[in-house]
Amino acid sequence: MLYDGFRKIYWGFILVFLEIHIIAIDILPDPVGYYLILSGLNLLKSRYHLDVKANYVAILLVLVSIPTVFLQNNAMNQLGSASLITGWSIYMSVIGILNLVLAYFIFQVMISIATKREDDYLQRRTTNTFKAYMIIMLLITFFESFAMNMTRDLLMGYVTISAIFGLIMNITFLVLISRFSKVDDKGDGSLVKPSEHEETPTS
Amino acid sequence: MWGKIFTAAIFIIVISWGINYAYYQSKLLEKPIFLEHFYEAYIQDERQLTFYYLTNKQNPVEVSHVVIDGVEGVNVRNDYVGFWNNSGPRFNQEFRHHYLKSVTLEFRQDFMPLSEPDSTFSFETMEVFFQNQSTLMADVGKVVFYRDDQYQGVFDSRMSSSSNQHRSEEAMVSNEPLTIEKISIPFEKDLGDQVAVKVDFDQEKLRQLESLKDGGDFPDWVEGNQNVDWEGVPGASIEADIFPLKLDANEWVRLNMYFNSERTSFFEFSIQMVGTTDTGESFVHRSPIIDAPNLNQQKVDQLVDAKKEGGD
Repeated sequence: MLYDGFRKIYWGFILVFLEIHIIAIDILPDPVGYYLILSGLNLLKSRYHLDVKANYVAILLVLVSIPTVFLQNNAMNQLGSASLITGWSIYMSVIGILNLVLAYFIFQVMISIATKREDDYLQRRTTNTFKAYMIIMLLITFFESFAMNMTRDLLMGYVTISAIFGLIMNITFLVLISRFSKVDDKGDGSLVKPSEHEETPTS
Repeated sequence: MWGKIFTAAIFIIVISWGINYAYYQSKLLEKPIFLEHFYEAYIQDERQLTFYYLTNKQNPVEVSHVVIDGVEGVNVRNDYVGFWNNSGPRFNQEFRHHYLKSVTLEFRQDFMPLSEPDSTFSFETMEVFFQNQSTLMADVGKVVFYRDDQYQGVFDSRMSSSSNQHRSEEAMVSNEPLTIEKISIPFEKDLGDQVAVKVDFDQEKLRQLESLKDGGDFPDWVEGNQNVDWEGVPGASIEADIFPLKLDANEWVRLNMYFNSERTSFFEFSIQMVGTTDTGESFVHRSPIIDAPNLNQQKVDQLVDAKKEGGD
């Protein structure tokens, strides 16, 4: 069911975005989040025979993100070290780019579902969210590459703005995924938009 | 279509990372750079001098000890003055890729070849040992030590001030009739165009400063002096033909001093007034000045580039 697949993806991203560290251990571990996303994607794939490239990225992220369980990554941390090149900072940037690629493919899945359902409203909403999300997140990632050469003042500005916009975009993304988990597929996987006219009983 | 745009965007980001990383690497110093210092130090028992250096933010280094040719022992003082917090690295000023850090050295007179009353000791380089085991033969500018001597007291210093605009002034009164033969800037070969001095002996105006002795206010022109251009500052340049300059007892002299604000060197020395009293005794009056450069990103970049071109 669509519900199951997108619910899993939804909770997966929640685990990825939220970080609660207790004695250096992330109790909402990212690899578990990516695993949930992966199983959600597999569910969609097996049921609807969608071309889901996203699960390769998800597999990669499950493996690559294991060290983040032991790594605190928050804005304060970033401020202190963004002007330094460390193994961790390069690693976090790679994760960031892989996250974007994953989001890209998930958007593609959502767009193709909305298209197949011939749901104009949902398709338009998904496409618009997709464009806004990608443009903003790509810009944030692009400017992040300059962080190492920024002065402290500029860096503070960048971190603040990117944190705010990043948060807004990710919430929008989550809201859209949760909207898809509520799409009714009539339980048969047909993805056909329920047509009110067919079902209109003569009363 | 989206796929292609997305792939291109990711590609651009990766390229941007590469370029930024290359730029970052190009700014890294192989070894710290010591700035230029022009220090004159009068020593009696002990004297502290602070030296400044640029080091990478990536791997900031801390001085553990230094060796100076001819000095038996120099203490490195670790109590740091400057802007720092407990968790982060300690530094005086922060730049994009570098920190300006300082090290305070404590010299002892009996460890230096200064046993004769008139002896001086100078050095331009020191071997610096850092806490990360690296060493550096650092050019630190010019440092001269003198034995502290007794001032004859031919002048009473009545007012001295300095500002962060790289200006400094001192006003004084002569105690006896005398002739000023020369006013000189130390390290003249290096600092001839970095320091300018004007002598003001407008008695009528300067006499207004007498009131300071009784706790009076500064005349308006003292405050105003800091804001006018150097050209507008009253007095004759010491490069002009004004010497010898005869003063009676209780006559005023005011020195206005200006230091190049674009330089990157640290100053701690005295402007010297040399002459003889009418009783035939020669004297030297020193107006001490301390002035730190305004370092900015551009100047730091120039220093780093110059060092790199010089092959570090």
